Amino acid sequence: MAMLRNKKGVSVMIGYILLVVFALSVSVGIYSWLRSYVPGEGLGCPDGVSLYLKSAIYNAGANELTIEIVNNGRFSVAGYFIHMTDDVDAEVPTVDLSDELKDSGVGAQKLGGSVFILSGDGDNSFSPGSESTQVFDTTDTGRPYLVRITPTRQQNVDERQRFVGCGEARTEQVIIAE
Amino acid sequence: MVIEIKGVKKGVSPVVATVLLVVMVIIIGLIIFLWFRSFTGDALTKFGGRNIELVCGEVQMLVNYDRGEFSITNLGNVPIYSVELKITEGRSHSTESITDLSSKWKENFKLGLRQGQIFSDYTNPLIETIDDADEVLVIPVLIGTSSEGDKTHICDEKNGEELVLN
Repeated sequence: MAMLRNKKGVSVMIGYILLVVFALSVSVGIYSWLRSYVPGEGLGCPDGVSLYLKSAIYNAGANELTIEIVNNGRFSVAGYFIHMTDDVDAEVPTVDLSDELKDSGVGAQKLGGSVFILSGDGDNSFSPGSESTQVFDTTDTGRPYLVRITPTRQQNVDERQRFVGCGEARTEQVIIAE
Repeated sequence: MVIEIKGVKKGVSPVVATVLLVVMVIIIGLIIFLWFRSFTGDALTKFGGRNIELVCGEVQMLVNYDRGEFSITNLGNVPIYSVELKITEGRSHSTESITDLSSKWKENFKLGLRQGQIFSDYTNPLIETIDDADEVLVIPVLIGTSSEGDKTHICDEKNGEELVLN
């Protein structure tokens, strides 16, 4: 009888507290481990970004490529990447043409490896329905046969402005010689 | 006689036992956590805490080999620090880094291939290696951040692009 009376253990309340603390610490550990695996919003452009290459004309005498671009999408864009090939049989443009932009600063300017269109205010100044014409010097690149345009945008991601390329909205066109 | 034995019988008080239990649980938990973490490795992240394995799935690159010219275009928004070429010849395969095969990459793309950039090369030993291969898989290598600083991460083969050999 005396031994039965002395039988003591952890009280119900402490048992609960231990259980809760243990469950919480395990949850915190697992959360911090798996947190980085939670898929987030990736860098990319919204659907509906589109640029239309209205014309791409090569002037052999002047060694110039003139392109006319129309924003036929639903969103404003900042500019575009432009690549070309000087091989008549090549299917993939491999030469960056943005460095050859003529009159940079008038209507458009070079920005990293892209062309930034100066059409209005804001980061994405080339609004839907707008048209823009740029001339590229092809003296160093050779005669272009195929040109590819990939729209670019300034996108707000996680409260930060990021420069993104819209790879899904790229367009290609065979060059016509004047 | 019985009363004397009861009086002498002493043990750890419930409070001390509880404290001991809690301390033991925490220590054992910590040991298991540290041991388990050594297996999983320190998580590499990119773009504000996203696991680099997820970011690997967002790499969009266009690889092309046409009449002796190998090119990679970064069409996505993930900078490609480097690429590994998994080369299959017959039943054997090996993996080579582009930095070992192309001096052009080493010179012009030290920081990697940013969005919109194109790498192209037609010189040896890169072209020789591709010409001798039966299959070439181009696997992106990214830079991520960990508690130990920036580290490179070779993406899974499922994130690689098969090179079409003519």
